Amino acid sequence: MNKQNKYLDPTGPLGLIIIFLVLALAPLFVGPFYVRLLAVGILYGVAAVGFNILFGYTGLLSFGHAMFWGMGAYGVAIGLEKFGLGFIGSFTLAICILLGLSVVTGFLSLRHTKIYFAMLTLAFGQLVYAIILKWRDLTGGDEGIYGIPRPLETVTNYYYLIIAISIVILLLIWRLLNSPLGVAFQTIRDNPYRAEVLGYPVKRVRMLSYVVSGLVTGVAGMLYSPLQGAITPESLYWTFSAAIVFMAVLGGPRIFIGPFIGGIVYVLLMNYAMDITEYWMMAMGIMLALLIYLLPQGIVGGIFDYIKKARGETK
Amino acid sequence: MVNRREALKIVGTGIVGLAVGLGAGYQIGVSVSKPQETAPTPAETTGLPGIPSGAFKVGYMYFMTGPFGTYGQMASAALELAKDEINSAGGILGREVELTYKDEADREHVVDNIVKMVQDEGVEVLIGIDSSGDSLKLIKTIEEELQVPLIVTHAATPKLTECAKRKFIFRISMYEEPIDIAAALLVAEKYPDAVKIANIGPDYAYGWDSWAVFSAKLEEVKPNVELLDPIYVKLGTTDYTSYIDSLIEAKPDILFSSLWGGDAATFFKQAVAKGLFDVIDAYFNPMLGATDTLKAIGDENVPSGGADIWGSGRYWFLHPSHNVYPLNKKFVESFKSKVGEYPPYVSGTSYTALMAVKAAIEKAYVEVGSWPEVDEIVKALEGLTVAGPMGPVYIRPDDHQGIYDVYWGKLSKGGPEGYPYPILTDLVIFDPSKVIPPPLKTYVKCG
Amino acid sequence: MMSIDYIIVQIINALFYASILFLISSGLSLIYGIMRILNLAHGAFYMLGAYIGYTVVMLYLSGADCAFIFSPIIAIIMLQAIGVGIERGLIKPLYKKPEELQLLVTFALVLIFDDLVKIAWGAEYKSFTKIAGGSLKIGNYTIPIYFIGIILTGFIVAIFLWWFFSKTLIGRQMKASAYNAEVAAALGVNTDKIFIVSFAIGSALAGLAGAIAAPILTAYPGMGTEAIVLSFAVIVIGGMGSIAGALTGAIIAGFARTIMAATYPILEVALIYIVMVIVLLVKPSGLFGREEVERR
Repeated sequence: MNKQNKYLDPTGPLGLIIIFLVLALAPLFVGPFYVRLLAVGILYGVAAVGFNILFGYTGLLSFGHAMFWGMGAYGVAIGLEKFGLGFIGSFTLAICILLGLSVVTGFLSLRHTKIYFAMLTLAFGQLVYAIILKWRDLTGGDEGIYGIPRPLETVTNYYYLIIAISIVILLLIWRLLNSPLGVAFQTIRDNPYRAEVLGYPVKRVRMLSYVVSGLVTGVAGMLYSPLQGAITPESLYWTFSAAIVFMAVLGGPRIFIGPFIGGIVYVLLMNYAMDITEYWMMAMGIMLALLIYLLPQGIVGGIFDYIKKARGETK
Repeated sequence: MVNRREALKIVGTGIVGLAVGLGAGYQIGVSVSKPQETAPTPAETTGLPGIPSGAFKVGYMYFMTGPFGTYGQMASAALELAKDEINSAGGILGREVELTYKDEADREHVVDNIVKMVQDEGVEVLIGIDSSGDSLKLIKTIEEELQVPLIVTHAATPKLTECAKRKFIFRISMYEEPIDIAAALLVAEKYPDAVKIANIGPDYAYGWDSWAVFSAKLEEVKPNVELLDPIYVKLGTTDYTSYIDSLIEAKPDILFSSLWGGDAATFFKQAVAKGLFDVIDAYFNPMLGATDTLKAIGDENVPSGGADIWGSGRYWFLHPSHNVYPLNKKFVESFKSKVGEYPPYVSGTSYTALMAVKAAIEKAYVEVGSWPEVDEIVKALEGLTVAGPMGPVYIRPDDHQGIYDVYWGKLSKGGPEGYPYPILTDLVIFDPSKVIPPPLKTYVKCG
Repeated sequence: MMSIDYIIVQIINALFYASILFLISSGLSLIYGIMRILNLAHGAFYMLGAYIGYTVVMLYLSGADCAFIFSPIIAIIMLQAIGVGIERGLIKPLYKKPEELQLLVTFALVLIFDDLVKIAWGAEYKSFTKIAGGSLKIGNYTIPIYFIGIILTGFIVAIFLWWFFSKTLIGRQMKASAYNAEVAAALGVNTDKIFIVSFAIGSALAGLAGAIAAPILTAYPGMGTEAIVLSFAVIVIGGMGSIAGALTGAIIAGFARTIMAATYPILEVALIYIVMVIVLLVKPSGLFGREEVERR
């Protein structure tokens, strides 16, 4: 059996490069509205990959990841609009907020697992939402922050910046997940008792996974508010956390690029649904339900399963 | 050998893959086949020189569905009325007007939808916006990215026009500030003994700003007032009972409320049932003069005795009087026969907006000799006076804000006057110099 | 200084709110306790109950007083059917699959139902033009008698549930199954039947809550998303799987909201989640919950 170079793994770097090449060419073929749409999709994709570090790789379902996305976005927005920091200063402020948030909520939530962990993340997520909603002077309350400037001015330029930053982040994450640490994540996911017996510091590894996961989703959020020029508390509500889970499952949580594809497909599906019907939420719900029954391993998971089967390999 | 479960999985993958593929293909096909430019190509077919062929696309955004859906529906009806009147008279310089819209109720996609209308659907002028918050959100996108005119006909926050001179954003509808200033003057004049002033309003820009203006002006003209902590509730709140109880406990003399739409009606009815209007002297709601709210309240809920109930709005269909101002009479009659309802203020303002667009384009054409560019349309709008159902509207060049009569009226049962729901009567019309601040001056904190 | 009338009135407001929350949360707690399913669509069941209530009272019986008795009954019957239908059709196939999928399918239902009610009833808020019963005057304040009716209903349901789970055979079987499903099955309890009954009762409770709350809170699309997350907070605080816990949690939530609304509105939304976090950290199984047997 020949071991191909890991980097040529189509579910990893090779796949990423191909996808990003396609994305980079998009502005030549589609109008500015769709470039903006794809930019959002890429950011959702990165957020979903971040979420999946904790979920698909470490086996912990967080129902509060919107708080990382949202606090990344708000951190940048507040830095730019309320404190008059430049882009670098605001991004730094946001990272600091995200670090603090992920360490504190991770420390408190990881004292439990499974359902209680999920409930704790939900509670923290809603708590952050409630604070942002009511701290009107700092966050603009219900109406949020608007007029946020964009690096490089135009959407198309910023799109390329997003592509550049995203591909670097995703490659780094892929490296991480294919390192011994990534193996540790998956061992803990599959059998925490065995992992302990094998000598893994389970609590610490989970914490690391949580913090990295939160930071990645948060960085995606950081890039989001300058893209749209505005941010509102809806991005922090639990329904967005559920959407992130949806994206990861849609793409396939057992494959590295799965959630990224999930993010892009989610945005395209939503736009398509909005074009054809006023009741696009229902259309999305039906699609989600169909996925769960027919394709629980996600789109990318399903495609690769099928390829493996066609090749005659065993799963 | 493929067993049934495998087959199902393959079929499932196929279906989802097909759906995704169709969806993606549709997106790509649609985006590639749509023209990238939004500027119309010139032609000679309309008779007048320098007029492009092809319809003139106007896009609007209001709450078309959901709890505030009537606002959008009524604005839409008025725009359709205006469009029909314009097109049956030959369109704008021979170009037919076409309307398209997006639903502001889609809260997550407000900015995206506006961008879509301009960049993807060829819209050249935008009309709209119900929510003050949304109007502020759109400033950057309109001014810097899209750079097409947006005529606002409802969102009333002073911050939109008075914090900086916008280039492409105009507002035809009266903004909040003069209405709130007028209320403060009314309180000082008619309720000299009032001391405790309370507020209950929606928890967003419009709610905060209207209280800020009203209370600031009131403190100026009546320094001895005691302002109670303002109460802000989430938009769409359906249960006001504990708030009403705490208001009854506080026993204010004057209650100011910027709740609007269905919220205002719900609050009003619950307040009547709980006897709040027996405790206070007067109630002021700057959006009470909205026909949907009045209809929802109904004659049976107009309290007899107790507090004076004052309401205002951006246009009251009975003012200017039909005997004195035929345009209002004609508009009200056409609207009623088309829609079956008396026009609410959103209809008056959106009708006027489209008429203003027509007037500005025609005015600019005279100067330029061909279909005007965006800059020329903007220049023509500045200083324009357009005849609307609410009276002549003057668009101030320095802040792009429309100026016309500011009023407050008293709530009365409509039945005795022949109307199916409560109306405003005894209108007090204010001297503009006393209530309308100069351009770019506002009580509200900008930035 | 606050008048005693004011305090009484706000207590009644708090109990009204708590009763509705209790009905919703007890249903959610029941389903979780016995089936270990977190049903995100529970809020949608509450919403359906509200719309059914609106339809029966306003559309069919034009606001007649007797309609207010019929509507909860009809809501209970219909939601039982809908709940069981969904459990058998959509959730049962996922029993052996990872839990996340069950959770996500209930989320899909939320999206579907929120638009479905718009299709069936329109997107506007559906308010009631009148409420059965007159008002009670307490000093300067007026309380609709209907509030008292709702509080009584909550009380009666609480007693009914207590009786059901301690005195009836099937109720005790359900409690046993909640405590340890494998042992209960080994002792001859028909787990399938238990699941159906649990889901039926749970959904019926949500529907009942909606039908009786609708005249005050109005029926509108999306009313379930806020209700569900508040119910989560309630059952976490009270103890997942415990009816007494749901009652306690609901009362805490009701009073927290009312007190904050009257004094520090800034904290109104956040307070319940703060309490939720504290409980999760100090006693994660909640005030009345049993320590979870860590499931493999």
